[in-house]
Amino acid sequence: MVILYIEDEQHKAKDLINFIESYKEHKIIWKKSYINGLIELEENRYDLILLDMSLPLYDADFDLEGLNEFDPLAGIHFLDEMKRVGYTEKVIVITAYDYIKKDETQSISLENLKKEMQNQYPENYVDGIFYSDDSLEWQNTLNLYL
Amino acid sequence: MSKRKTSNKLNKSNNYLKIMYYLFTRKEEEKYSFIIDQVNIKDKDVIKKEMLREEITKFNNRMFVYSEGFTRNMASMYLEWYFHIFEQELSFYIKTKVEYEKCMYLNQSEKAEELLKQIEKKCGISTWSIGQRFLLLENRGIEYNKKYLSELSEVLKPNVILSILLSYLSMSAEKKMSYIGYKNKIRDLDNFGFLKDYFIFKLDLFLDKVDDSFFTKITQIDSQISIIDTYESIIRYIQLQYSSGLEIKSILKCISVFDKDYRIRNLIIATMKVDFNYFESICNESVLQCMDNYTMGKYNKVIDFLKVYLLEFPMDFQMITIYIKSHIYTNTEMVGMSEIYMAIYHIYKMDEMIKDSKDYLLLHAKRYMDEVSIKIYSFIQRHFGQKSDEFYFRRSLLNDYNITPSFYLLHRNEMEKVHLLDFVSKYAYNTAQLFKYLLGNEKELSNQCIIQDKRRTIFESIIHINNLESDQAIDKLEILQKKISEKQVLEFEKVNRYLFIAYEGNKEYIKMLKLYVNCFFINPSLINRFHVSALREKVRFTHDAEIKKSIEYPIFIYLYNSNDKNSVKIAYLNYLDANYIINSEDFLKFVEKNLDDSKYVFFFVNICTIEIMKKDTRFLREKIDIENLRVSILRKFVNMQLENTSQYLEEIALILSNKLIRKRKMQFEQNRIFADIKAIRMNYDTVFKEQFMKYCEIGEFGEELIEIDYSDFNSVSLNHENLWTDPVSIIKENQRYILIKTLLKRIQHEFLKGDGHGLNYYLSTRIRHGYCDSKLTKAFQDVNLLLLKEKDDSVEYTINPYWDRILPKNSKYSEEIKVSLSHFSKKIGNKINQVKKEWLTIKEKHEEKGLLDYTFFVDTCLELLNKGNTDYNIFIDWVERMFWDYTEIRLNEIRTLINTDLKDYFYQQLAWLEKELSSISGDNRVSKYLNQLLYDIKGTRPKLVEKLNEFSDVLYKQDIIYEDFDINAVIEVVMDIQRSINADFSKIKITQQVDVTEKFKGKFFPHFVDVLNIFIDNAFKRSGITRLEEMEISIEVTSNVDVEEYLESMDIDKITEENFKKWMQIMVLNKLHINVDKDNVWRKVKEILDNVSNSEIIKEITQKEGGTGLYKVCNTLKYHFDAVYGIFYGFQKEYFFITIILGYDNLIAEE
Repeated sequence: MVILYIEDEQHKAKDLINFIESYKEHKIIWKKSYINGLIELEENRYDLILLDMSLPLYDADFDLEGLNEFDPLAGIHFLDEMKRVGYTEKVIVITAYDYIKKDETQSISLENLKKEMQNQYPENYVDGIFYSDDSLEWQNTLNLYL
Repeated sequence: MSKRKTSNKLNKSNNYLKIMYYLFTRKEEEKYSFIIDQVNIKDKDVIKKEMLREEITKFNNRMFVYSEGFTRNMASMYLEWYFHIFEQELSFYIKTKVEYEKCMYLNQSEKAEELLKQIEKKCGISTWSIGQRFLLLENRGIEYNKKYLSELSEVLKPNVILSILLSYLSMSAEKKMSYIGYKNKIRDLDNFGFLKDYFIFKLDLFLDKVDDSFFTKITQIDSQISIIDTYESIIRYIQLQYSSGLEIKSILKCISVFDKDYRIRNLIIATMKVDFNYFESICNESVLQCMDNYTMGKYNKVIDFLKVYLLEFPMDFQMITIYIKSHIYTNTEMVGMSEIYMAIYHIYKMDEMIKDSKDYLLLHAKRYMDEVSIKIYSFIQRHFGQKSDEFYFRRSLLNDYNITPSFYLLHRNEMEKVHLLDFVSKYAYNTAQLFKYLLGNEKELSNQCIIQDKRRTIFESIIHINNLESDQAIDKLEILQKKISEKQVLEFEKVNRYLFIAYEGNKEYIKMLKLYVNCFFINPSLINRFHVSALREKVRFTHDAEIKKSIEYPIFIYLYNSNDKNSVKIAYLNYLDANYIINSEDFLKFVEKNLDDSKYVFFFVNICTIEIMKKDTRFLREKIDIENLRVSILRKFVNMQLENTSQYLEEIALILSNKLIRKRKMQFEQNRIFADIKAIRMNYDTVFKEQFMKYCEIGEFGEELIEIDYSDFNSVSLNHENLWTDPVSIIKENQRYILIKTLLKRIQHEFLKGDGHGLNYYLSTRIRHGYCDSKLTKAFQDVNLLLLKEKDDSVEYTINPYWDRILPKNSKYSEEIKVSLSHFSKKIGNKINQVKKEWLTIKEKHEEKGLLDYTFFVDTCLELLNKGNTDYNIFIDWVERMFWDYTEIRLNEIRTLINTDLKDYFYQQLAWLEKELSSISGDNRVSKYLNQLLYDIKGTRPKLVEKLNEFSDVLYKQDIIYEDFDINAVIEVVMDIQRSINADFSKIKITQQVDVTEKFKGKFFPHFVDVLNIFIDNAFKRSGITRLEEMEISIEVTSNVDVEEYLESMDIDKITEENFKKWMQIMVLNKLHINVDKDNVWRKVKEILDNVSNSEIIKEITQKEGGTGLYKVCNTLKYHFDAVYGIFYGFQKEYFFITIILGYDNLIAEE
């Protein structure tokens, strides 16, 4: 399985990559920002995308770094772009937030957001996994898809 | 100022309180009717006496009773009983209130005041009557309103309910507090626990939903305040319920006796079977006939009738709208009409006054809070709401002064609708026929019914739409659309709106898009009433090539909600993809090709912004500088000399100077403390500014006015006797002080927790979630000291893949090791949770936990506030700086704790683990692992310190920090900016002389650039020279200054021997054209510099004559430079010079 992983937190990424690489048959490509993830998706096809919910727009060393911004809902915006273009890759959202600020006025629990993503992005969205570095639950859940 | 300790005990000597306590705390719902029947005459007299007192002090000697167990049924029974006691008084009130409101709308203030007194005398004082008095007084001037508030506060013993109600009623009456400002103030009422709903219900007339609990709440509380408040609240509650489609019969029963009140009458009509005799007794024949004339298009007759009628019934809003529309249809002049009439007129006409008119009407509605206000609000919702809402329509009808044919819409039963129209047809035959036609009960519309063909065609089209015959509707409307001129705005809007609906019926989305955008380009207000949310859903992720290709598609998405950047981006990307624009070259060609089409220009200017294009991979792949791309687009517009050229030039200058300044930025990636203050200010500037201006204004007419300080009220709670506990101390304070304090509190709240932009949001997303755990556990995890939980919600830490794999199975020593590690993990986990939940958490109220403690922020600001400042921008900039300074102090405390307490705690736990593991004797199989663990623990400590340092290092404000710089760097950047804006800049003769060599602190860099750039800009503007070859500019920055010469004009108090030893002179000198009026140049500069502390005068001067730059220079020097300065100007022959003398000791960078 070739997996595209989009994640900006070094520690979480390493944790996840170590876990996935324990399965020798999987290859993982790691991108650290929304735009780099998107460019990667435009160029190559993947069996699975693991997507963080909150991401910076660009990598820290990108030329346009001066225009960089942190987007707490980058995962949703990435799924929007997949839907717009018609990409068929399956996506698992992996996030450390149990509550996510949905818009200007309301927060939404991860459980409810999962339901919304299921409705909005049925072609791509597979599951949402809560990542916690003091628990193994995320590994067990992710395991089901590998 | 007084303080009060509130007694929580029921005062047994207070008969009134005892009776209310008895009535509200009964638990036997089924016996409640019997219970209230048993209340004897003596007790009823006590209630009567208490309620009918006309002095404000009636609220001083008692508390309020409130019981959660008081049910809806009990409340209905209680109200029926209560209103019965006061039947006579309320009948008087109903009659007199109509007279009173007439006087208000006819500006007969004295008579209105007299009637108000009569109402108070007969029915007792009420918050309604106090609110009306605020209104009457405010009409004379805000100082009268505020003096009255002060007088009331003086005699009133503080209690939560009255304090809040009075303060807000006074605010709602204010002429200068906008509707938006007032709505925002209502948000401050979130802290009042179970009273919050009550306050919101009482103070927000425009509430659009209420739940059942409101009913028992308002019944109990208002019936202890006054009979009028109870009566008004119950009517409003029933109206809201009915408008929301809910059942009201059981509640209406308790008040239906008052059917002389037209609002009760309307509710009865809405819920009863049509009774011709009843209608006959209550309808106004002439009004119905007038409406029929309107239907038939006999507008002159309508005008003649209403001209007289509205003098008698000035508060009949429905007839006012018909009167104004008749004027528009007949194209007759609206001379000498009131502001309300004119505002309605502009809204119908959709002219350039429409926005101000809307604001005016909302302000009126906010101030008067009467039935006209409800109708105004519904009117605004229907004209600007972009959604069809039965709720507002019903709400409006329920407040109609007269029965109108439209009342048929109040009925839910189709048969009753027709019956009502049968009755109406007696006086308004044609209108009834029309409505029956629209209901589907009549097959055709006669020529007599609607005289004009055009209007008849519109109604016929509506029927086609209702019958799902979209094709026929489209055919008719498309023909009509061509016949009607844009100037016939009422008809033109209607035809296009229905055509839009007809297209929707046929799923012709591309036609809908084109129609919508075309209408917008004819007149932006034409689209206000188009219901577009369904279309937006259809096209947002469209795969329809034709839609994606059309320019109307991204424009529609933008117009729908320009703040929804993500949707705008999706439409933009779809549009460029569909038009085969694959790179920047294609894009620029595309711009070039379409420069003369206003739709494309709109697209390029508003949608192809940096914010959108910076997310477009087609440009990022080719490594295009997005800012340069935007500048290229803007330059094309500038070259075309389009109407907004100056706006494009300004944006170019801003982009380029930001780019150049940014080059000197030093990036500290690790800093994660952030709040998007810019976004918060953008959202709330109007509201903040309004309150700040009021604070300034109130200072002018008296510092002595007082008010009860509600700003520190915390949640109100009930005690065991169903009395509520008022906040511990309630203080009367100066009104001006309360204003600024509540403003600062609000700003603080928005900066901390505002709408996805506040500090808390970023703390949560960037630190508390994920990052905090990973950073603080890293050192332990690297050597496998931490176990994991099996599930996210498990309590015990039981798993570690490494040890599970490596430690011998079935060994008690292995088990002992894991038990020790498990305990250790738990302690570390708990501590990290504490760091997240108690340290890195914002504490805004005293009862909250959190080391980011802002409970003293407002007090700190109040202490340091410059009370003389009347410039809002200076104020808000200052609050922002205070906020970050205050935050830095808190962060510093947390950083220290991390490196001391947290480190110590982790060390202790490591020592504990070390001891535990050492005590395990082990055997051959596990000893080596025990040794490895003990060895790793020793190695963990230095790593831990490193990780803790890294963690504390992120707790700095994410900020732009610039390299330290010298003056030459400033000049260089300013020259670059000028060159990039003006291609011929090199033709200018520029001389530079700089002898200041020190390096300055990086944070001053953008300000130095700003100041010098503005000086150069101004030199251009004032020179009067058009041929750049003739222009001469000299820049001198020298430390060779005879400061004594200037000291007199500078802030001497700040200057001491110690703090200002270094002085520099920054001078820009430029040649003036021979024809330039030197006196005029001198006068303009003088006028700005002399008035720099008065923002209102400055605003006037700069609007009239330009020169905002110089004003900005003054503010930059004053608020961004920690320095003493003076600005001087004058002439040297044909040259003008402007000079800053600056004491710069504090600006110099540290070695």
